[in-house]
Amino acid sequence: MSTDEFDPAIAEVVSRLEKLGQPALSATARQRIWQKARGQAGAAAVMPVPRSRRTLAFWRVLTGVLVAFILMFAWTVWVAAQSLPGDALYPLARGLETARLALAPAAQRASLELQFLDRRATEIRALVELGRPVPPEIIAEIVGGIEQLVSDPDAWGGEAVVAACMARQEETLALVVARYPEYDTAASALEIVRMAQRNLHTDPLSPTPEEEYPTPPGQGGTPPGQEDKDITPPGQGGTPPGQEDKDTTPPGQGGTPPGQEDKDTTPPGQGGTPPGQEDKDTTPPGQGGTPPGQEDKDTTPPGQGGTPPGQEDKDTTPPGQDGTPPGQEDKDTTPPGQGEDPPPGQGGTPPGQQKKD
Amino acid sequence: MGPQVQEFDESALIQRAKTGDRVAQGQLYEHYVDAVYRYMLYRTGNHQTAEDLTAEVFSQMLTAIERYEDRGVPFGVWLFRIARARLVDHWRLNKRQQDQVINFSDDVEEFLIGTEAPDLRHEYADLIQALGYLTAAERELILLRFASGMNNQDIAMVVHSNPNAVKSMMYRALRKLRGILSNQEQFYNDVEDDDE
Repeated sequence: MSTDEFDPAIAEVVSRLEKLGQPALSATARQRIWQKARGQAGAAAVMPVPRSRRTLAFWRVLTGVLVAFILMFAWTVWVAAQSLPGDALYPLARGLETARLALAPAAQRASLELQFLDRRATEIRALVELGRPVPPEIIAEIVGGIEQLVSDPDAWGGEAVVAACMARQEETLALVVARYPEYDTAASALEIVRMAQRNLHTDPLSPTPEEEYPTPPGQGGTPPGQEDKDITPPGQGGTPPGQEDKDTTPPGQGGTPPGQEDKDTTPPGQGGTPPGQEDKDTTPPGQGGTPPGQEDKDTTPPGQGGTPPGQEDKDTTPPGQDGTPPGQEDKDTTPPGQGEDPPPGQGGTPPGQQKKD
Repeated sequence: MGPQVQEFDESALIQRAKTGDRVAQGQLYEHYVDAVYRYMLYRTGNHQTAEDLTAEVFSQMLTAIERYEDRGVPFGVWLFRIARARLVDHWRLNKRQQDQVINFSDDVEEFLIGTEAPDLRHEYADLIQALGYLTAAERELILLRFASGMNNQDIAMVVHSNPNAVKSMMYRALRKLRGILSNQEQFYNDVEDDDE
């Protein structure tokens, strides 16, 4: 060690510091330290080198805390999942649902929302069974969900899935209404759900749009694009007043294929107007049909259909029987006593000819 | 490195020590023990603690030497890195902060001074006291350089720095130490004047 490499100003300090390197261990001390070192090395060779106790204790405590935390979190989530509206942990359960929705891939969100809608129904049933009040928000949530389902069934997995979900909701709401008849919210929600079910064509008495189109020609029905206001005889069901009936014709019995005018498909020679002749009123006087000079407004006998008093007769044909499409004037060529178009193969305007009656 | 009183083939000793040759291990110990012990003594301020820590360093040397590879890190640097790590463990276990000013205990002064001529007692005492006023980093550089005899390049490898930074910091520490020692002398002169 030389002081030459340092500034002369500090050379004196350096020379003094060099004395720090002078003390040396005595031979006894050297031997003692060497024996101690060898002893420790031998012990380390026999046993694996342990971590310091503090380090081990730290990891033990940390692991314990983490495990406890995870267990507590899992328990809280489980309890929250079992909670019902009104419980302290219910907001947590809803928050977890929201988080699941936010984290789920877009393709799974629809099924997840359906699942949560079903969970609402389950919660309501549990509340009813326990005799606890059903919060109106939950019912409103169901109604909102149902409206979403109906607006675009395909987005929620198709009509079958939506119909099944709606059936469960309807069943749940019916349970609430039966248990709490004074619960107006539930009653109106039930009505909305049932109406949505009808709109979805899940009622077995109503045809699906697919079933409506292949109607055999000549059996009547409302042509697509034309509104069938009410064709059901009084007392035989149909659309409730004030609601729009989209189609109540039984499947396979009515309707003109889309894009086609209602033409008479009666084979030639089997009735109807002969080719080359205009189909005019051939009903003998006094045997039915509209008297000359009068428009045929209502020919249906009382009690067999027709327009109720006070309603305009748009179509008086009973369901399943052909009638004049709305917007066309019924000149009535029906033979007396029959009052309806002949069934297919028995009459009508030959194909290719426009029915003018 | 250390009191290199004799030339010896360090790499050959290391190769023999790695195979478990006790003689070679002993020779490596003899070569470095004083440097390590002084480093520990001046940093802890307690000769018993310094002895224990020195034993731990060489214990680890014996268990880990078979894994030692000279990849640009000299054996002395490797050994002082172990020493430094043991010192950090010691401070952590004893709740001592590294930047805490060390006040050497009386028994350390006695231990050091007892091995030297009586006329050096006063000088050592002042030097040790002055070292206590440096920061831990400054004190470490000074001790590695003057108590353990390492050059700036080796010191830089021990403290994971670069030689220029070590040199610069060493210079500042020496100037600071000079100021402290000057103040001490001034103080003693004033006291003597007052006595007179």
